[in-house]
Amino acid sequence: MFPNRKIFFRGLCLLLTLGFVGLGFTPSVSKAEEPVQQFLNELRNQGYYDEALVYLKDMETSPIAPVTFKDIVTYERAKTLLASLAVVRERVKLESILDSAEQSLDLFITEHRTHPLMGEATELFANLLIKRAELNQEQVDDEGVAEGIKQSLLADSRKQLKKANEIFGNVREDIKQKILRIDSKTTDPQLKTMLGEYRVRYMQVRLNLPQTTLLLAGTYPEGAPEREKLLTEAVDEFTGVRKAYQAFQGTFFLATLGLAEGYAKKGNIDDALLYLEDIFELPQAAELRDLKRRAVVIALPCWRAQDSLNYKEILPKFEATVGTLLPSEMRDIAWLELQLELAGMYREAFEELDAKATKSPEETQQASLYERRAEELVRELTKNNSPLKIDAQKLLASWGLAKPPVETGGEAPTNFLQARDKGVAVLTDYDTARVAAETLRVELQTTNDPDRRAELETQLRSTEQVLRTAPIQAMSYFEMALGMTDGDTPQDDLAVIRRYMAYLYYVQQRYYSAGVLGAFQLRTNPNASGAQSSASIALNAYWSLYQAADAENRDFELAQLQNVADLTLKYFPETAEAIKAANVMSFLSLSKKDLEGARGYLEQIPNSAPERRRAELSIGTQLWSDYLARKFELEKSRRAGALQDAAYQNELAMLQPVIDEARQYLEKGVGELTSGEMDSSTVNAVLAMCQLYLTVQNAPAAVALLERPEAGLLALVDAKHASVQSVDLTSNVYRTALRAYIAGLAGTANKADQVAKARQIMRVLNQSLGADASGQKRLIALYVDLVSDLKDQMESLGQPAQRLAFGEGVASFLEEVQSTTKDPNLLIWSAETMISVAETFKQDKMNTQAKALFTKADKVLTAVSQGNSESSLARRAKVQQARVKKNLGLYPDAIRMFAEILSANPNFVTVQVDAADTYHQWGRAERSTSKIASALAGGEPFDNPKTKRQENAIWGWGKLAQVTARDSKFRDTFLQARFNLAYGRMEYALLEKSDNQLARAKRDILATAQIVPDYGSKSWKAKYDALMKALQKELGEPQTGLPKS
Amino acid sequence: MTGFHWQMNRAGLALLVLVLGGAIADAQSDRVFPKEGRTLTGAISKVSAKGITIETGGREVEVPATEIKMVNFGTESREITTARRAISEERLNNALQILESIDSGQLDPPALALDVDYLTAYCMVKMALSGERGTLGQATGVLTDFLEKGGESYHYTNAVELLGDLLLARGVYDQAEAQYQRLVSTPWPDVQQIGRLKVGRMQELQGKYSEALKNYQAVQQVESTTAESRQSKLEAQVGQARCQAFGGDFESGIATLNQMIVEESSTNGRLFGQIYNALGNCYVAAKQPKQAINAFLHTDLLFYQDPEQHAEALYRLGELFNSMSKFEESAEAREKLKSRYGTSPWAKK
Repeated sequence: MFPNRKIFFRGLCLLLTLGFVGLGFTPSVSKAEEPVQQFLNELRNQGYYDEALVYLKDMETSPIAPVTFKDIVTYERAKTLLASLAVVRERVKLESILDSAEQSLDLFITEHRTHPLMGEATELFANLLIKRAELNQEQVDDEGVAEGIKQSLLADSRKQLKKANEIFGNVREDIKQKILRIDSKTTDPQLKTMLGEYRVRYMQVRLNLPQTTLLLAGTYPEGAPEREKLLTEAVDEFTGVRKAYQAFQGTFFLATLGLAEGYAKKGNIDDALLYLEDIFELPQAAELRDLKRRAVVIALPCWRAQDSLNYKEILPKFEATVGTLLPSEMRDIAWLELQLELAGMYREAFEELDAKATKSPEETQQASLYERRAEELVRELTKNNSPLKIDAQKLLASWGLAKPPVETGGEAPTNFLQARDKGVAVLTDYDTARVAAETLRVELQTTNDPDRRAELETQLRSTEQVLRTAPIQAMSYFEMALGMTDGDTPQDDLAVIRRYMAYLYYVQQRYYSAGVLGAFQLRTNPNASGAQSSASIALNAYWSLYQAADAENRDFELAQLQNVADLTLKYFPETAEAIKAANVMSFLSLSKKDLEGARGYLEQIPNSAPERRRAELSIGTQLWSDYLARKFELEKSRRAGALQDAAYQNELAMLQPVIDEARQYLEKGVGELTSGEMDSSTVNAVLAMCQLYLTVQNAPAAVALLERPEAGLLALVDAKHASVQSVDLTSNVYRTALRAYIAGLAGTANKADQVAKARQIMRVLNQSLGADASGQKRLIALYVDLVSDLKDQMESLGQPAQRLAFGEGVASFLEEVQSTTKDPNLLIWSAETMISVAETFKQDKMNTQAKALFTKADKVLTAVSQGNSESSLARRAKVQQARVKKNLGLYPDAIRMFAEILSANPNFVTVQVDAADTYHQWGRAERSTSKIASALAGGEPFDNPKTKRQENAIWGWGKLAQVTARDSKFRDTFLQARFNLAYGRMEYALLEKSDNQLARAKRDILATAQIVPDYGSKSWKAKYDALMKALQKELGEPQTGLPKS
Repeated sequence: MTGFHWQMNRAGLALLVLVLGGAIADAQSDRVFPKEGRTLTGAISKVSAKGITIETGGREVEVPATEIKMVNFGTESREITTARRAISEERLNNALQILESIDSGQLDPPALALDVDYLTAYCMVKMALSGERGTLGQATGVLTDFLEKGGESYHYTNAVELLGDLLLARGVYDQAEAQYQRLVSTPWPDVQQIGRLKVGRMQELQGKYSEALKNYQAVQQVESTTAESRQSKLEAQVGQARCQAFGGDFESGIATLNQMIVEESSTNGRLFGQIYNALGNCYVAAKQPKQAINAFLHTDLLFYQDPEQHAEALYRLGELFNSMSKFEESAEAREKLKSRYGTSPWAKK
């Protein structure tokens, strides 16, 4: 157990105080006090840390501050910041203060290496390191922290503590030398003073060293040899200090405490308790209270480790120290925790006595005393926003004491204060009942004993009654109080009432009212007591309203949330409320696609807050999603022919900053996620990062992320984790994994292993999705998407050589798949993927490789067609075969196959496009006007049994354009058809040397704009414009392009 | 003369002074407490609807009716003085108990009798308006009686305004308007302002928005820097925003009112109640029910001190919550309206 965070500062004060007795003079760490220094010291002593910091800032430039003081402002600032840690609880704020203190200390140490306060500054730095180590330990002790992170924190702590020890060791040596240089019998007053100061500091450091060693020992697990060694060292050193400073009670007792702690950690309980007795026997004096408190902290586990607790002996010691608190201790969580422990121990003592079958009258009385005292202590802790209120309420509930004792004599309140206090009392009962109800429900779930269940159910019914009536009763008292106000009622008093009312409205789900009251307090009186709570209530209320509102009608809730969040961030920065507000607004900004806003709010979440990571991941996911959407638009334009390759690559390159930014937000966080943190949002973040890795050609990183133990996506799917239960998400995980394995083939040394993993995914997919017809459909859709993914990935590679390597890797995987499966869907999919890869090879003019792959694909497809009479499969295979024939330049075969397919299914638009394009390619290859004409007008007539007319199975560009003109779903196809119609006409015209046809081509272009104004998009317009200019050139006209609209 | 004789003469002199002094005190013990400045003690020589003239320190001082905080007549009983104090401390029930036990017909001078009649009517009106005691009809009767005979009372103008308030509470807006119009004819700018303000409000409630707007604009143009005048001007600004909204320009109304919320102090509960109600009505006109609820809740939860404003807010909340299917909240608002302001026109809608 780590000692209290005030260990060194309180210890220091105590040392200095007790040192009076032994040394007989008033020690002073600094030189002759200036009024400025005295004032600053006094501000710190009184706990006015903020004021002290402001004072220091003023003194930096004030003419009344001595120059010597100005030199040490940074040192004093660090000292003040470190002292202020005593009153801060939030970890985020603690870390922020430590960062500021370290900055100031660094500055002082760098700029004043020869200053007399250098020694103190380095000691202060050592204390800062110790504080950081303590914070790390707190985090390690938190629940839900991944093992890796724990080890990393412990490693950091060890480094910090070792460094602190090193500093203390050096300081000790340094002071020792200084002491030796001064004659111990000197009569020079200045030297005597210096000697005295050095001796005090030497004492301090002698205590600091073993104390740091104890902390360091705590970073090792029990039983570890390093731990034992360090504990022994500490014990020896404390023993030495006790021996050397027997006459100096402060040091002596602090060393005694340390010694006891050392023995306790070594497991020498009896020795530890023996030494602690010395401290318990000290008189009850205010300046000794903290020493005694720390003694209790060390004694508690020792008492509990004994075979049986001697309550009669222990309780008086415990009570004497902790039973009654000084006013300054009543908000100190360290003291309150001990009070709760004391209450628990009283209760145990009572239960032990109560369980005795026969009791003497003294024992009965004693038991009653114990019971009462336990309840008294805990009830006190449930009042007045005590930091341990909830723990105290739970304890009361577990003792079956949730309902408060019945009040006798209730007069109606006659003034504001009475009404307010009655309201507060009822509200406290309500709070206690709330926690009790929760505790009782939990216990009911796990209890089977019928008697105990009956008891719990009775208690629960009674508690629920309080839950029903208390809010109404409390509210009526508060309304009564408000009715008793007048113009002179202080605003702060009104603020308190309104805050309570806001809370009551919230628990009764009157969110509008809760929001109005909470926000009003925040807006008009942020400095009033409870304004922070009011802010929290308002935020929660409007959040509840937001969630309940229709998605299209949330403007009001968004505006209120923004207003409350911004005010909370302004008035209470870096508090838990502010972090929540920033987190909520970051999320809401993202939902409105306001990335700028999201980033702005993210900056207001401290780096160390857990919410920060989530918010970063959400922003990263949104950025990635935006990137994909933009890329999709570019690809659509390219496929439709509206964007040339070079322009496409250019546009894609301009998106690189988006990828970089997404990576920045995602990369660190996704690698640290634990399985406990996985939900749909974090799963999407991991998927985004994997896809990003694949886009930047880092398949191994994507694989590593997918395969992370416990929290990796594949592990989650295997474990049927709740976060990946949706079919879509699971499919997405598998699809990404397949992409990663296949993409990684090109670069991995262990291809077989990688292929095996990919095959395994495909097997799992088949089993989980392929069971029925709809599952099959989903499976096919997934594979089709995968083909598209792989094609995209291949095409995004910058160099042909890279694309070749990628393609060959994919091809080898596909061959492996083909050789070991008979599943027709899988075979068709593998052939489609091969074709896709081959097409890219063809574009890169790698015709040999392209031809080889086309041929392989054709072979597979032929086998599928022959082996399957099922029409949709056979059709799919045939379509692909026709494409292969086209790509191999076997145009007649291709046309024949397209015609066979289309005569049975004329409305397959994509196949019609392929067929028209086949004619067009044929016409170009053979410079044949008839083939080009067929591309325009269609071909392969047949007797359509449905229409009973002779029609062209292949429509050609003309009819394609006609059919798709009015359907916005086929907008791109329409524009492509019209473009190719005009282009084909131009090609025809040039072959036939026909100006008429050229002119007609021009009219084709102009007519297109009448159906799709301005040609639908900039990229299409540019293409049409270029074609128009080409026609104008051929016609000898000025090349003005499209008419200006 | 011996010392004893001198003592006797001294005693006699003292007795004389005591006797004469009492008579002198009776004749000179009227007191007029102005709203600002020192109390005037002397003999009231004239009382009219315009104010009071009091002879004090050898001169006559005229105190306009609008500047009188309180008057104590030399002949009034301790009970009457106690009743006045109770009224100033808003302990109207206590005051009325005392006043009802006094037969004003027996009082002298007549100004005192009128005072008692007015104070009685005042208490009954205020308690009827807040729903604490009595009916609006009963209060109207008592007040009308006073007005018939109280033409020379310095309370006359206040009584006219009170009658207007009663008629407003009864929903008889045109009659209320007529009463408030009489305030506009008084010689005092501040009272004229209040009159115009209230006339404008009555015209609004009757849907006469352009006329109301003119009155609100006239209120703004009065050159006066008193606190009451400033308050009237602010309330007129609110009224203008309401008229804009009802005239269709709710965006301007919303903008004006939001600006006022930022600029004015929320400790001015009366003003803020009006602002938020007006804002709520603007949002209703703009078909933004959530924002309207938010605005009316401000009146209900924070600025409920004016019964008329609170009653309207509760009525509107009942309607709005109902329109959003929040039936429990709607029922609660209606229940609150009926239980607290059962006599208000809003409760009868």
